[in-house]
Amino acid sequence: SSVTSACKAVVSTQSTGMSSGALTAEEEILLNDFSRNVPRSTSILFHLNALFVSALPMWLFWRIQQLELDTYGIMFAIVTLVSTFLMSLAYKNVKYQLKHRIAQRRHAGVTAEVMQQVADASSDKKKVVKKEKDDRVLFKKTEVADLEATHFSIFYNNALFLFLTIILSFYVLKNFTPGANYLGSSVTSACVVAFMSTGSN
Amino acid sequence: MMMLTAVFLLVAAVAAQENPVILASKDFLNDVIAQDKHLTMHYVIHNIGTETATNVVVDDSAGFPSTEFEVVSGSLSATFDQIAAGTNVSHAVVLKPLISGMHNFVPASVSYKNPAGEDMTTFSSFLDNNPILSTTEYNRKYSPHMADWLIFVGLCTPVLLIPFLMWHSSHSKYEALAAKAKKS
Repeated sequence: SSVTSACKAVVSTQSTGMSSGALTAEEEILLNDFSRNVPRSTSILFHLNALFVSALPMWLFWRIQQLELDTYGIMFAIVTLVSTFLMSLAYKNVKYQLKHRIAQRRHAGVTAEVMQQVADASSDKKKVVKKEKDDRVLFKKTEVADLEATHFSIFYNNALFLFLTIILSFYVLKNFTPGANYLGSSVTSACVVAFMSTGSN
Repeated sequence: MMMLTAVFLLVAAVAAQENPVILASKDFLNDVIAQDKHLTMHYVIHNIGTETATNVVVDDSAGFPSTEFEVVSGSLSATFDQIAAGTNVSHAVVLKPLISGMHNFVPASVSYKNPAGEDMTTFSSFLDNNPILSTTEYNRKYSPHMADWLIFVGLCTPVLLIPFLMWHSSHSKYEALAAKAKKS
């Protein structure tokens, strides 16, 4: 598969790189592609999303459970921050798991798109060699997979977190005091979402 | 002597039967009692005796001090000129609790006169300690919060809909391209 061949390429170039002492730009891109690290822009997107969605239960507990902001303000802040950290972790993990599966699924569609672009370029009498076509397909596939995995990861984790929070706060923990209810439902939901994101499937 | 005692007791028993006998019930018409929410108290006074009770006064002021309850409609005391034997009358008053917490709903006092003009007093049924919910507690448990839920749904929409639509647009595009490539 493209993943295996890319890994082999990285390993073989790394062995030559060790003797030459530097990685090429292509090798850097491949290494970043297969690591869990996300680019800075994606990291900011994840953190902002996580902060916003972690703050949503505050509205429910302030308006419906009648928790006063001045009395519970510190608890709101701490729980929101803990939740934000766990949700960001979940986004990163789920994105990493989805990215390569999506890349495999998008191979046919991206190849068709790139071939169409190449065909349009050929009409301008610019011949595109096979290696360049393959590179374009790989690059485009990675780009599309990265984007789709990011968006789906955010959607999936947000939906799961909000669903668990509502179920826990209005059904499971409804007889607890409102403060304990908020703490239990928000932190438990975030922990469950983060835990589920560490699964291998 | 014994004969005289027996006759005397018989006369007393007959005399007792010939007095009005008032029974009073006191009840809430609310399912929930909450601070600053209307509370309707309902009193029913039955005369189960054989004589008419006159000048019947029901007074529940002691049970609802003005510092703790505000009278919204009606009065905490009511006077009935007479209650004929075997009949009943009812009275209602609407209050607004100014406090929250457990409250001892003591019986109302009912005073009346028998045909001989003697003052008689009885008390209504006892309602025991009942909780008066605070406004916060009442809103938490019983308010529908429709507007709050709608706002929450509105706040959730961007964090769910936007990422889903962005994923879906890319997914649909490339699935269509793949399907088209497979056909050709």
